[in-house]
Amino acid sequence: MNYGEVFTKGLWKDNPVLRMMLGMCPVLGVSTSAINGFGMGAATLFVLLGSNIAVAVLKGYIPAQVRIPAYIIIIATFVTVVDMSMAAWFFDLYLTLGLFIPLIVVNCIILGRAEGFASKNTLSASVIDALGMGIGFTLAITTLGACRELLGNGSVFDVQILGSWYPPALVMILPPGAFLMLGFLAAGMRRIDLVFAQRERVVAASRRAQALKLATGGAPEPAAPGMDAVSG
Amino acid sequence: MISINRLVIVLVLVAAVSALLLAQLDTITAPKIKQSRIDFKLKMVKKVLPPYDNDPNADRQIVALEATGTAHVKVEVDDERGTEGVVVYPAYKDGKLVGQAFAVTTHEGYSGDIDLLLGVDPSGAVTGIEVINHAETPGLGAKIVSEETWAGKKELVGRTLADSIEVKKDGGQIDAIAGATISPRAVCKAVKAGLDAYAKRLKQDPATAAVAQTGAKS
Repeated sequence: MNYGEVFTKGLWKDNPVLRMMLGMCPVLGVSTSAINGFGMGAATLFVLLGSNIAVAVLKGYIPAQVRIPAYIIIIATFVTVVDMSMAAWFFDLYLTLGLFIPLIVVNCIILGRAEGFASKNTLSASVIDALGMGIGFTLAITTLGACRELLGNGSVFDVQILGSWYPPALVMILPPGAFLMLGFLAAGMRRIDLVFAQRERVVAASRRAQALKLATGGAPEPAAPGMDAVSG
Repeated sequence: MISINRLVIVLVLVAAVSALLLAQLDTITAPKIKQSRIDFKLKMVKKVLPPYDNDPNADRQIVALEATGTAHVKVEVDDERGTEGVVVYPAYKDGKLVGQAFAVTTHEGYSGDIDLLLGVDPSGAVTGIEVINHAETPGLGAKIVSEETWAGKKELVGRTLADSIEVKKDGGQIDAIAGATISPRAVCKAVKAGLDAYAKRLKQDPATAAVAQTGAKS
């Protein structure tokens, strides 16, 4: 198994938020500011790591018929651990995020990775998968929160960026703004992918054309097979 | 085919291990969480009261009061003393009562209740307000927590029941927040309810009045 790919797929190709559209409940609800998004992402990353490890270790002992309730208990346990630890040791953070921590239980990314990956793969691969998916989730929700905070409040991570000349678009920090910004980000990501795919096609086509030129010994150029891709 | 017994045993085991783990963690964290909550509340008490030289927590009084309406004094159970009522924290300076702090709650927040800690001096004027619990929209209604984002928090200080305690939109003098009038309005109403309760009940209550006369115990 290619660990590098297991790790990076959560960051971009299979990003849980912007590609798989999973865990929408906390994503839409918490991403009103960059710091809220980051806190939620970090807490989710921890739970995801814990549950993937536990599921990967226990997968041989849990019968298939009761695997879902068993996973849910494992996930709920880790969420409660985060909730209690945060309240005990990071009380200030708990005051702002405490409300959202229990929401992690219903985040389908965590059950999704337990069922879809950890229950079928080795412990080390499951750890890498949890890290990739967790960091991908954190990056996505933090970006979403930063964009909404910037447009809706003129600040990012509570640092004022846009001056008083900017009339804050309040809708961006209200619930509709979450849907709007999520749509823009997901679309932007696809756009970037398209541009890269296009560039790759162009490069491949020119290589093919060159190879053809060499093969035909510099004869008048026939229509290159890659031409369609170049113009399209 | 796996027998039903095995399924039950596995599930029970998973649940039991998880319960055991959480019970262990709870015994470690519960006292810390309780202490954090008390520390947080006392930090807020200190913020809303004028300078004092006693220990408001040790001198606190629990006043039995009924809470009615949408905004009212917060009635809670004091864990340590086991009695229910409004917890009033008195502040003394050189043996003289200079202010009292107590919690007020309102159901008129934009999303959920807003709990405030209100400081009042013996003349019935506000000495300070701090939001101790709320679920207002972050970046919008949540601006009520800081005077940097809501000027009204400072404007309320020094006001008595005789002064205007309404947001400008309602014909008063208190600044509202652009795009979020509901939260400041709820705070104003809660402050009013708190001052009202103070003037009508808390000021005359035997428990608090007795403390006011005898002065600081510490």
